[in-house]
Amino acid sequence: MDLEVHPGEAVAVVGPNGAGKTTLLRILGTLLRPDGGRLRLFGLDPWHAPQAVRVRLGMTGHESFLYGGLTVEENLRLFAVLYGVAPERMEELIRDSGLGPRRGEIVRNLSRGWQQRVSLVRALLPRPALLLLDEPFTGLDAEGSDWLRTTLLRHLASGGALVLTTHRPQEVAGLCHRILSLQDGRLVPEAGSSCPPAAPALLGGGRVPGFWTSYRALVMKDLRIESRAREIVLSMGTMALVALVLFSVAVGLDPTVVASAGPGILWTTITFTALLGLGRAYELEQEQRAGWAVLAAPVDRAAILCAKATSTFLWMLLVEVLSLGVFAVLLNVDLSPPRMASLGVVLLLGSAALGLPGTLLSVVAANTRLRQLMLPLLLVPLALPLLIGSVGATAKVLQGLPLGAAGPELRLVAAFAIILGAASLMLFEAVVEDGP
Amino acid sequence: MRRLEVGALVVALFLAWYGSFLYAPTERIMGHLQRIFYVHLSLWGAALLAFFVTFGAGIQYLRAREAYWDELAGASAEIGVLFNGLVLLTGAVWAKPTWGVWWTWEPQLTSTLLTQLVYLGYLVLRAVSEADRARRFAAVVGILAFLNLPLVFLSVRLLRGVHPVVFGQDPAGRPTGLEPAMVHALAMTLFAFVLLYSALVRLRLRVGLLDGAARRLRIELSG
Repeated sequence: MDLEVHPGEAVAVVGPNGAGKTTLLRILGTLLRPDGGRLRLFGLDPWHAPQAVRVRLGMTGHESFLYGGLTVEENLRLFAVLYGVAPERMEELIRDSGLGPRRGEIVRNLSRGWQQRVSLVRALLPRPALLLLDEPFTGLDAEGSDWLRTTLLRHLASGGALVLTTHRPQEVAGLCHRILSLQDGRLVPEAGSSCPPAAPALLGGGRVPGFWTSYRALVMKDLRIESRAREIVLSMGTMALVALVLFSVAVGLDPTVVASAGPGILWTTITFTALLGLGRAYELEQEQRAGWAVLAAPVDRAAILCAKATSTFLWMLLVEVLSLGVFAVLLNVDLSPPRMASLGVVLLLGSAALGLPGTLLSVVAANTRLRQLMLPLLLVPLALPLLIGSVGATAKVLQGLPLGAAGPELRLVAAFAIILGAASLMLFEAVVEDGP
Repeated sequence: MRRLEVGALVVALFLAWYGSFLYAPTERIMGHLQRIFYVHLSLWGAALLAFFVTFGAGIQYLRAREAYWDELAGASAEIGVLFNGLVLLTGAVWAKPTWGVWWTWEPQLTSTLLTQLVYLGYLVLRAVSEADRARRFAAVVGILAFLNLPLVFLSVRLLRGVHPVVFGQDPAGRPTGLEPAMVHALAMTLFAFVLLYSALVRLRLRVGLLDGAARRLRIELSG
């Protein structure tokens, strides 16, 4: 396969279903690492300078790549931050695309055609030098198609390049300079190709955002979705209650046994609810493949993993605070303020330590045939040292000992957090290099 | 395997048998039962080596992206789980007459069991991942699993133990140790099991690589 695209040039790739059009776009969009061959985008190797390449790419896919639980404006604002784009640019695009009246609507409630339009606006945000569109005309009405055509012509006129896929070559007549057919993994020129106009300067209105900027935007995104849906905390909270009762029943409801098993019961409950939260947090990224858009953006991988771990950690804390009262009553634990404070430190540290490896492994698990069933098999054995430390520290605190007495246990938890957290950050890229 | 290697392995295993059953003196308190310790500890050493190889091969796979390293990591983990399982088994055989129970929640036993669980998860992951991703995911989990091992050992130390401390100090602070002949026997057994490990892992690796080649051929022929 040989393909070279120049500034101001539009290339259409046609071919039957399954020919590999989408795979080609994903490779160009840095979402998939090719098995072999040489790929240069803007003269750069995308695997050596990923962010410099991603900031100049705009991409849409078969799915909308949007967060269904956010409004149109919230989605666009998020990606404006992730691409370092000024809010004025976003406003300009909202105006041009006719999205103005719908900016406050939840994306999940929009029709396919409008979602498609939002998705295209998202891709156009950074004035990309190369626009990659997968079947962009599918689902658009006549007005939408006209808008898209005008927008794409303007993009080409200002020196942007375009690669799109389509089933129907007649759709892109007058727009694309070359039409290539993808057959058996090779690109064959189809229609008589016209020469692209002389290339003006490259576009690019985006900047690579800093770690904290993108981290904050991604955490806020999760908070916003959850504050609207309230499904993660609700299901985790109910699970916590069910687990507390289940384990109390399992030890025979004998008050003294329940009390002595208390720390273990508490942490087993936390583990169960965390598994639930981690699974759901990942599904959120899979819905409409919004996570792909985040991975295609020039965002530090560490910021993505840290943000996801942070929101999971926040759900865990919320559920722990909510269930601590129930825990104290059911297990007959005396929670005086000083004890409460010490227990708070243990819960904070233990839950935080689970965040990064838990998030990493939830991505691994979800991409296997067993899906989230695989997560407990991977995470629980790995987290047992953490649980042993947390249970030990909790037991000491509940016995009324000062926090200092739990030093060895807390050091173990901290060591787990540092070692596995750092390793997770380093290994995350290898996990997501072909999409979430 | 070449004939020479098979010969060396047979000799090493014979020496290990000779060393632990005839050469090493009988332990004063535990008697002949103690001889299982040579096999037990050597298996544990070889299992740790196996998990280390899985770790190193995982890193190497992520750097070089060659199927060879992934197959090596998988083969080594399988042998590691086998050896580690035998550690648990030989430990139980020893524990029953000594402690009166097959199993007790004691640090060394617990950490060996936890290690086994982590690597069983690793093997399940290898079995249920899709072809291309499987290698990367396995490498990632293999690396995390090995980094976790020191934490496993540390964590179980927080629990109280009754396991005999072979090297170090007994509760009264006296240095414990082994007779020189016992150390020799242990060294011979350990050497034999490391050799056995390397032979098994190479056999398993070859099966894995041939399996991969066969799969590629099948795809080529059918497509």
